[in-house]
Formats: sequence, structure tokens, C-alpha cells
Amino acid sequence: MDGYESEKIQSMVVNDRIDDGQTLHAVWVPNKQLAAFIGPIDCESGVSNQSRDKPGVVHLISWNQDLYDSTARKLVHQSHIVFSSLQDLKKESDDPSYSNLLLNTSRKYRSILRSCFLEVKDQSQQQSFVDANAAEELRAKVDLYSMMELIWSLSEVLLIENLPEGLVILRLMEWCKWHFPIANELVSECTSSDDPIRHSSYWKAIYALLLQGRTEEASSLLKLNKIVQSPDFKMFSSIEELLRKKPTFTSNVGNTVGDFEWKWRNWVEECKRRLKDGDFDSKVELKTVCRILCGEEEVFHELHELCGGWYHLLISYLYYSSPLISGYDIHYHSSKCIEVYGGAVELTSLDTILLSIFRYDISLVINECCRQFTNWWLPLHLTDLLQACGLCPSSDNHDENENLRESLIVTYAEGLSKHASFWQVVAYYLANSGSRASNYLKLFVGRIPINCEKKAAKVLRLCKKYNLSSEERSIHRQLAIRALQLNRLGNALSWSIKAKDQDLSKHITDKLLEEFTKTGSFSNTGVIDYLGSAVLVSDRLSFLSKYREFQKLHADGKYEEAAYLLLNLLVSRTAPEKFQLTLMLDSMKFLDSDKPIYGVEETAALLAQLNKLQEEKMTTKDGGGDNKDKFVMLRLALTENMARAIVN
Amino acid sequence: MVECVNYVSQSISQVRWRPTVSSLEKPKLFVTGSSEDIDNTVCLWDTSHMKNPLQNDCDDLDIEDFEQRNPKKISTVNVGAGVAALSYVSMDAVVAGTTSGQVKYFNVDATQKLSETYSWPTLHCKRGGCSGVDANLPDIATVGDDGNIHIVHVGYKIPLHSIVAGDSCAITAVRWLSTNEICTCNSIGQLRMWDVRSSSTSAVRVMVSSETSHALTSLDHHPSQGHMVVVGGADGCVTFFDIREEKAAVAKLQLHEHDVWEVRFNQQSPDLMYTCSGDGSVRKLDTSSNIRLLACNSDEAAVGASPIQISEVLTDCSSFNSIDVAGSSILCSNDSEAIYLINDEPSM
Repeated sequence: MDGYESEKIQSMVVNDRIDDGQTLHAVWVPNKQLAAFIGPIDCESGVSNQSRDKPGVVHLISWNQDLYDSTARKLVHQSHIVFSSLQDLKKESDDPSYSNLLLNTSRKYRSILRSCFLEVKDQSQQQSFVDANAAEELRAKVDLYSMMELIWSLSEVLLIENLPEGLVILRLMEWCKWHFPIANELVSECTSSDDPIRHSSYWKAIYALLLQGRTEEASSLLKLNKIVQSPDFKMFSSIEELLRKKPTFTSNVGNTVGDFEWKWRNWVEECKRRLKDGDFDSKVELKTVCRILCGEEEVFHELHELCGGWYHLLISYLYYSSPLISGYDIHYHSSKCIEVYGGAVELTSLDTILLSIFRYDISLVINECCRQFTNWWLPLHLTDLLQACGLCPSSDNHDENENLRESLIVTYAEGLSKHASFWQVVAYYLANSGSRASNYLKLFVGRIPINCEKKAAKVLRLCKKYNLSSEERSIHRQLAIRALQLNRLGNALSWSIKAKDQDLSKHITDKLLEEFTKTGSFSNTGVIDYLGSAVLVSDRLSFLSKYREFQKLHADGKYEEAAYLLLNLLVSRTAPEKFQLTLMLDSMKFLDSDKPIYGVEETAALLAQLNKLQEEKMTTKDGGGDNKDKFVMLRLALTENMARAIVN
Repeated sequence: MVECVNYVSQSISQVRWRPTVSSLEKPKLFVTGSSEDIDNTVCLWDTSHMKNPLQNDCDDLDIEDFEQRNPKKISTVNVGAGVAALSYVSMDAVVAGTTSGQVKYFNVDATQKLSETYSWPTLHCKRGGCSGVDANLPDIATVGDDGNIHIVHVGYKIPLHSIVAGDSCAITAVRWLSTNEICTCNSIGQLRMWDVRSSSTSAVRVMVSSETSHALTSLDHHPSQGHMVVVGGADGCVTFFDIREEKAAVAKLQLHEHDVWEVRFNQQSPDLMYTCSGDGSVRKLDTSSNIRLLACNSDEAAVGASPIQISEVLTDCSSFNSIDVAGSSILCSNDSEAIYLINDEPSM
């Protein structure tokens, strides 16, 4: 996709004041945007040491925003639902109704396109009274949607439905009828007037109806002219008879292709005979009608203004000249029709795409669509559907197809990812992009902005769905750190437990214990008291929960249990170093009762702990300074307890 | 069940019916709050012009048909950050809390136009913001991701009563139980009852929903049985609490596979409870006599009692964020930027 010629260069004006010595700078920033700002000429990065009296402005310039307006958002979301149902459908390709289901999927896409088209059309009609510029933009969008729908419907008829000969031309005729309302307009013009027969559009209406294969309606219009007394009565009856007897191919069991061919040939012979006999020579218009029915080439060239385009002309011509043509042969006649409309030089991009569809050249179709459309909605969804039908661009090269699909999905998802509301859609598409899906997903998930807990829950749910355990853990940790920054220790702890992060939990628990030593009480009891099995995440956490238990036991008056718990905690040394002293001081509560709770061994153990602690404190920088009296007090209490214990 | 699906080009995070004067009246207006946009909005919609959709798949859609089949947006107000909580305070007043911590109060005037009449810009912290609002005139309770609870009155900048860091974790929803009691649930599975008249900053009661600390994401209060509170959790379970009981939950039902984003009791028929979830389904629980049975004797929770009917109202592939019920009209919004209007007539 690099280096192709563009027809025009897009430019944009940045509204900012430039003083002398300044120029416009621009740098690339993430998300395919340009940051433009005014800065001094000589400075490369535009940063200057001089202070300005007014603040500078950085403009963010982005393009290809067509997927972000309100109608396009509906397109994206609704097509996402259809896309996901198609992915599920692909797994059931053995189902006998598979091809019908694929056709239904195609119709769903078309109906979404049609509803978007109608909405934008309505908006542009309303805007045309208000703002001319906006109306112009909306008209461009209307054209875009109608173009997409045209391409999609033709692909559906030729590529997906893939009807056999005889039926394909009928279906294509229906396609013309649906997309080119010219016949309807002419008919309503002339029938709404008082004297339809003498209206200027009367004959044009009849030709247009015939060009769309609507022989019965043309016949009923002609009947208006069939006045019994008039000299042309016989001619009108004759043409009516021909129209009535026109054989139509149906897919009923009774009709075979051979039968139809025989009937049709007879009928064409009859038409040609009547024409040659000069039955219609006196009325030119009726002669034209007969020539149409005979499938004469020149008359189609004459009437080409009544057709919507060369494709309409092509289908009308083939309808009358070779109705049993197979889909694959249609394009052989296309060049003649294109000539009528000005030749190959006049072909627009839409024409090229439609021509490639007639040629069944799928890779060219996709290629052209990618070139012509700024967002790849159409090529992506069409390729995906065609691949589901088994019509991959290169049916023998599986890898190439995979690569094509991946590049289409990733580019489309990239285009969507700039808008915050599409993140779930983007994640789904990336997850279905092929072999490298998890890599793309990981990169994307890391960039989803999380601004509240509910959004975090949704992103985590997404990680779980696609087994992105490292991203999940990373998000938990990020939320824990954020809570820490806001000094919400309880919240931070709950997130670090969910992350099963030992070190972070230890760090937070240490902070909680620090807070306790300073303030004398625990702040986040709502979390600490309800840890449950989460204590296994870190040793420090289990210490914390045991310490809380100790506090509760002490508060409840169960002194003996509390004392032994405390002893265990001291001896096991699971507390942080700074906390050991606090623990020792807690033991004081049990040392000054008349009946000693601690026996001889216990007191000895406590003394040993005290010694160790004092040693450690001596080696640290602050020495034993402030704590000296505490140590003395402890030692005294412990020795007294020992004495009492020995005596008892 | 008649459905109307309307794609609105906005990710709607909250929908609320306007309260009706009488319970027999069908609700006509609703408000929505959006999120995930750069400039989020609170909008007022009208459904009074809508005809019953006769056929859903019409080949030749007329533009007039379009308009008549979909609700019409009649008023919009810009709020900036995403709307995380929305509630009707009275017939013509709405309060909304955003993810940037602002709480805004809107009035709907006689011409059906929304306008912001008061706001508390820094009520909750900027990161996370407000996560729930509930009104019990003249008090409005707001809770946030920062664990703070504020009781505000319109017209007063300073909250009447604040419980700062009342909860160690993010609070996800709040409901008034009586004139001075509120109930909140948080992200580690705890339900707390508070007395707003007292000056203490600790909860009156704490209840835990389960052994594992799954977040509780939504809360509702039974309209007639004042002691019955239901919470929806992140594990898809809906838990019933009797606040007269001490600690444990009365009943716990696994209604969904993913987070239950909202639970709502039908005010007109309180036996019906609706839930919407991240697994893309909206379900209805018909409790009838069973909850009373459950409440009386929690030992016989589910054994022997007649089965509680759970029926599926709607399924889609994307998560349902919000639901509101008024009479037989159900309103829900999902992550595919669609609003669903369902007429859930009881089948005779």
C-alpha cells in the first residue's frame, strides 16, 4: 500500500499566529497523529529557552475519522455483531444449511448498510436547509454508503449466491431494478399526468421498464394506448401478445434449461419475423420495443441514457439476447457496454470494482476496495464472508489468505482503536485475526485507559476471556500502585492480593504496620479482617491477620490464648524488623499480672528474643538511643516474671 | 414480549425511567447517561410517539417508519466525564455522578429541557470518581471509588454529612433503607449499613456475601419488605440479605456467568426482579412467596421450597450495563451502543 499516486494532496490550515523568526513544526505522535505547533525557526525540536508571554498551543491533527460519526458507529457495532455470529457459524461448515446461513449473513450486512444509507440521506436532506457545507459532506457520505451497498449486493449475487445459468440473469435484473429507480420515476411521472399517453415520458417509461425486464408492467402501460377504433390497434395487440408470451425461466422442477431454450428461441424467432415483416413500421416506438425484445444490439446503444450505468446496460442486453448465460461469461460482453459510455478511460473506481466482480477476480476486487476506501470496513467484511464461502482469493495458498485476513483486520482495528468507545470491538477483531492474535491483543489491552473500577472489571473480564493472564496481573498491580499513590492502603492491598503479588503485598502490609506503630490503630480493618484465604499470598499477610487475631483475643479477655499467640509470633520472626519491638512491648501486657501467664521456658524464650533484638538495634545507625529505656523496662519486667514463674 | 432495538451511537452506561404519577400509567420518558466518549452527555428521550413495531424485518424501510419506531432524543446536556451513576430524584429532577468525581443535579423544565442547576465538582476523587447515587428527598447519598460516602442537599456546597474513607475499598452502589439508614456494597464482597445521623465513621453492620471476596456490583432494596436487600456480584450470583439477621446471606442464586451489573425490583410488582449482566443476558426472577419463605427460615433455604422461576428476557452478545423497570416496560442498554425497550406483559 505504499507509493501509489493520489489524485490530490490534502492540506489543512492551522489557525495560529506566527511572529518573526517562527515557523510551524510538526512531529509524529502515537495513534497516527501529527502534533503541530508554532516555534522558533532555528530550533530543531521547536523548544526555546526564551519565555513567552502567552502559552503556546499544540494542535493534534488526525485524519480518516469517517468511522467516528454517529452513523458510522452504528455501522461498526451492528456489523461487529454479524461478524461475531459469522465466526461462530464458520465452525459449523458441515451443516447442510450452511450456504443459506452465509447468504443470510450477507443480507444482514446489506441491511445494515441500507439503514445507514437511509439515515445519512435523511440527515443530508435536513441539513440542506441549514448548512450548505455540512450538507455537502453528508451527500458525500450518502454516495459512499450507496457505493458500498452496490458493491456488496453485486458480490452477493454473483459470488455468494452463485446461481446457475438462467437464474443468474434474472437475479441480476432484480439487482438493477432495486438500485436504479429511473423506471419508477418515469412511470410515476407519466401516470400522474392527466393524459399519460401523450406525456413526454410515456415511451421512455415503457423502454425503461423493458430495460429492467418488467414486461408485464410495460404491457399494462401499452394497453392504455390500445384503443379499439384506432388504426394502430392491430399493432398494439400484436406487441401485447409478444410481451405476454415471453417465456420466463423458473427454477421449478418441471422446467429444464433445454425446454426453456427451445421455447425462448421460438419466441425470439416470432419477434424477429414480425419485425422483418414490417408489422410495426408505421409506429417507430413500437418498432423499438420489438427490437428490444429481439435482443438487437444497436437499440440498446440508442437507449443507454435510460440505464443507470454500463452494468445496467450489460444486464439488460444479456437479458434479451442470451438469458441463459452463465455468470462467468457475462464479462465478455462488458467492453462493448463500456464503450457506449465513453470507453475505458471514463471508468471510475466504482466501475473498476464492479467490473472485477463480473470477472470473478476476487483479489482484484479486494485490492481496489482497499485502495479506494479510507477505512477498510468493506474489504474486511467482504473478504471474511468470501473466505467462509470457500472463495478465498487464492484458493491454493492458505498462508496468503491468512496473511490477507490478518492485515485487513489489524488495519481496520487500528483505525477503530483511536476512538475510546470501540475498545471492545477492537479487542474482538484482534482476537480473531489469526495466528498472532494473542500478540496483538496483549499490545492493545495494555493501552486501554482505565479510569474507574467498573471499567477495570470489564477489561479484566476481557483478559480472562482471552487468557491474557500476564496482562491481567499487570492491571491488578497497576490498580494497586494507583491506590497506594492515593494512600488508600486497603484498596491497594485488595488489588495486590488479586494480583497474587507477594512482594507488593508484603510492601503494603509493612506500610499498614508502620501506620499502626505511629497511630496505634489499624486503619483499613474492612480489608484486614476479612482476608480469608488471601493470607497465603504473603507471609507478611498471615502475620498481619494473626496479629489482628491477637488483638481481638486480647480485647475479648482471652489473655492466655492471646499470650501464646504473641509468643509464637515473636519466636517465628515473621514480623518486619521494625515491628519486633512493638511486639515485645505488647508482651508487657501479660507480664505484670500477679499470676504469671508465661512459664519459665516461655520467659526464657522471650528474654532470648530481647537479647537478639538489642544486639540488632546496637548494630543499626540509631543505636539503641530512644529505645534504651524500653529495653531496660522490658528486661526488668521479664526478669520479675521469670522470678514469679520459678516460684510458682 | 415486544422489542425495540435502537442504536444510538453512544455507549450508554445508565438508563432510568421517569417516575410516573400512577402505577397504571405507562412510562413515557427516560434519561440516559453515556460513557467512553470525550464529551459525555445526559439525554432525555421520549417514547410517546412510538407505535408498536409490527414487523422487525421490512425490506423497504421508510424514513418515517424509522422515526416512529425509535425513541426520540429531546434534550441533551454535556457532562464531560463518563456517567457512572444516574437517578431520578423526583418527577422532574435527575442527579448524575461522573467518573471524574463530579455530582450534578439537573432539572427538567416544562418544555422537557434538561438543564444543570447545581453541581458538586469535587465531591469524589478525580480518579475513579462517583460510582453510585441514591436519593431520598431532600437527601442525596453519593458514594465513590475512593470509599467516601457523602450526603448532600441541593443548594449546599458542603455535604451535610460525610463519611471519609468509610470503606477501605471502592464502594460500588448505595441505597437508602430508611430516612437515616443507607446500605452500601463494595468491591471485596461486603455489605455495610450506615446510620447517617450518627457521627461515627464506622458502619453499623457489616455483612459478607461469601468466603471468596468477589466484588459486589449492584444493590437494590425490596419495595415492600424493608428488611430485604439484594446484591449482584462479579461472579454472576445474586444474593439476598435479610438485614434483621446477623451475618450470613439468606439465599444465593447463580443467575449469570459474569458480573451482574444491575439488579432492579419492579416497584409495581415487587415479586419480580430483573438483572442484567456482562454475559449479555437480561433475566427475570419471579420470587412470589419463596423469598418470604427463605427469609423466615434460612435453614430451609432452597430445599423443598417450590422452584424460583428464572426466565430469560433478552440475550445479546455484548454486556448489558444498565436496566430499569417501570410496570411492564423494561429498558436496558448494552455495550454495542444499543437501547432495548421491552414490553414484558405477564402471560395469562
